[in-house]
Amino acid sequence: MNETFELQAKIIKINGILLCILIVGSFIFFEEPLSFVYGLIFGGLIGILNFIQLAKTMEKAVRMNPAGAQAYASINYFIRFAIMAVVLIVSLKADYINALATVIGLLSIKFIILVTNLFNDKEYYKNIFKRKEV
Amino acid sequence: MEGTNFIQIFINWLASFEPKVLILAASSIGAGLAMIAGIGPGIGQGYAAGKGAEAVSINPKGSKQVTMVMLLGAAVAETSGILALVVALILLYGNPLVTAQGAGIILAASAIGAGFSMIAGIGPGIGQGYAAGKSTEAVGRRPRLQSSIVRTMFLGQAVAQTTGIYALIISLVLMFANPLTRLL
Repeated sequence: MNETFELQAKIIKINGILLCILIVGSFIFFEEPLSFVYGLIFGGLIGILNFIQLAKTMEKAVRMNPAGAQAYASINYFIRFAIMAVVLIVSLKADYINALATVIGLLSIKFIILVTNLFNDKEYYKNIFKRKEV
Repeated sequence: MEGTNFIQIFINWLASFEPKVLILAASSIGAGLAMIAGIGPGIGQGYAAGKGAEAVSINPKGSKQVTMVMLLGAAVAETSGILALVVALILLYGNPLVTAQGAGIILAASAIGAGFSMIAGIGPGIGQGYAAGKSTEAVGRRPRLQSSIVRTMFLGQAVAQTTGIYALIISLVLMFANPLTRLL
């Protein structure tokens, strides 16, 4: 059932490393880093949980009929959307959590997905600019 | 002539309120408008999932690869929804326009404009979902080309995201560094 486990583990691991770097960086660059660190941890963890939930949704959706899969994926997206709304409201309301750090934490996993998959093969970019007729 | 009268009456009616009341009312409209962008990723992810299901039904052996591509594509397609949510919640809970200096009606219009600009987030949401759907379809047909297809999909998605980022920038400028209030 868990077809994407390896992919999830890889992305979550890299996201964890990025979060650790950001946390260490915030300890170095901010005078009072705790609220920023709490925001990063809070946002980062929810981002990871959202990604796992998305993976579960997609694994289930591919086994449905196309129309059912569309509805199922959209409904699950709005559930995750509501969860993110709650997380952002909590971080905006609570003084001890930096809202900007929470947003960075939430979006960090998307950044990792883009970067790890876009820049892992130089040959691909070389081929784009290679003249085909030669 | 009557139309002008109506506009005049409407502006007079708006001017009868305190500036802060106007800004708060406009912020709630802006927050609602910003949330419209949340539809985009919903449609996009649904489309991707539908295409994934189709691809698996055509090529059941490639189910793992199809799911992986769809997961990656759908995760990126969600971004503009989060950005819209952030703007809507800033307007509701951390609104900088309430304490800003300037004419009330300009600040109120800026709050509506900040929400309005985030509607652009529908575009990247649907577009990225469409890219994810087509990529899953392609991987279902040609599983060997998976890495190349995924990379092309992300390249397209990254470019598609730019308009969403522009919308976010305009929205944040209207809220935090409004140039219009300085023109008075």
